[in-house]
Amino acid sequence: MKADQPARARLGWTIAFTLMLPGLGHFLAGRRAEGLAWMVFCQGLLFGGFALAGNTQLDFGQPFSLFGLPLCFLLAPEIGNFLGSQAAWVMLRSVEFNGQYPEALPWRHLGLSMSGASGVISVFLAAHAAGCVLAERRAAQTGRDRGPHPGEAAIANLLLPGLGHALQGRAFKARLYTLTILGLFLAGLALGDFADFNRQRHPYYWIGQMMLGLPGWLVGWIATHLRFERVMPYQDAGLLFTTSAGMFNVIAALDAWQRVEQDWKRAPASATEPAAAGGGA
Amino acid sequence: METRAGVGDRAGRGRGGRMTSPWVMLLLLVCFGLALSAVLSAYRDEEPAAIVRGTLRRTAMFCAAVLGIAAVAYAVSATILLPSA
Repeated sequence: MKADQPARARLGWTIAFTLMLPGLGHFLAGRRAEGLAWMVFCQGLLFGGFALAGNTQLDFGQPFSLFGLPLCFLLAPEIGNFLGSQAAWVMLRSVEFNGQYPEALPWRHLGLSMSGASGVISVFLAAHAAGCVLAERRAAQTGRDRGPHPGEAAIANLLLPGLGHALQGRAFKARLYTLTILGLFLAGLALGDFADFNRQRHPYYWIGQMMLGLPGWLVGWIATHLRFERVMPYQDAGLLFTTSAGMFNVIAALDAWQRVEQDWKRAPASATEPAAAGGGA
Repeated sequence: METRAGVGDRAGRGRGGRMTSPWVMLLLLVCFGLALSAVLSAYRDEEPAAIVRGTLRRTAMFCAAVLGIAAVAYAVSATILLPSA
């Protein structure tokens, strides 16, 4: 256990650095080009989103102070990209301060989705960076470098819920997660007339909905022009469904991570590849 | 129940009929329970058969718990919390 402590500390620092500045964990783990690419991508998404939305994201957050001293700006999910969101808070001002209506910004919803996605991707990137550190250690110990590492399995769920399990060869679980999470999300959208994925209308639910990843971001962006045209009796249930679907995707990503880790722990004893040790689920 | 405004009360009862149906609510409860149980069972178990068994068991438990709480809430609201005339 004691021999494992430096590695675990390195894992912790990798996660912390990535949450501070996405890509920094990869950079410090020796993957400099990858780290730089993630850094540019996440900050581009964040500040591009702020530009498209006229910085109106700042209207959804609030400063956190202790004894009158402002410490940070709480803006979820952008706070996953911590330094980027704090820099935006210091440097930018919402167009509403100048008396403009956010509704006049044609690409506002795309901007909101982009900056939110930046924070969500940063959180998943922390898992990816930690997975890179684990993979590097495993390759040094066993010489094996086949199959996805835990971080890749976790971040794949941002592309499609269940994809992380599909990459591991766990077809049943992959199908189950995909059908359950996307089915719940679409059912929730239908209950809300496809108009309840909207940050301005439901800012707190929106944080959970954003965790669904790319399918949710695309559907949310495509459906932004839709408006409520009638009283929907089951709208609350719809919001619960869509938000829960996003949170379930986080659980699926955690499961994808831990299954690869379990496979790796079993592999040296059984001398089998990760996918074969999974039991076929 | 027709209210003074003539358009029904806040719970949706009145001239326009019920806004929500208890049967649809029950269906939504079962749907959500199934999804929640499927994700939880997939997280806890590895074998497909165990996941399916766990999903069914947890769905039944979740629905029973929610219906039980709803029954207690309804009973309390219809008795001791009912404002006297």
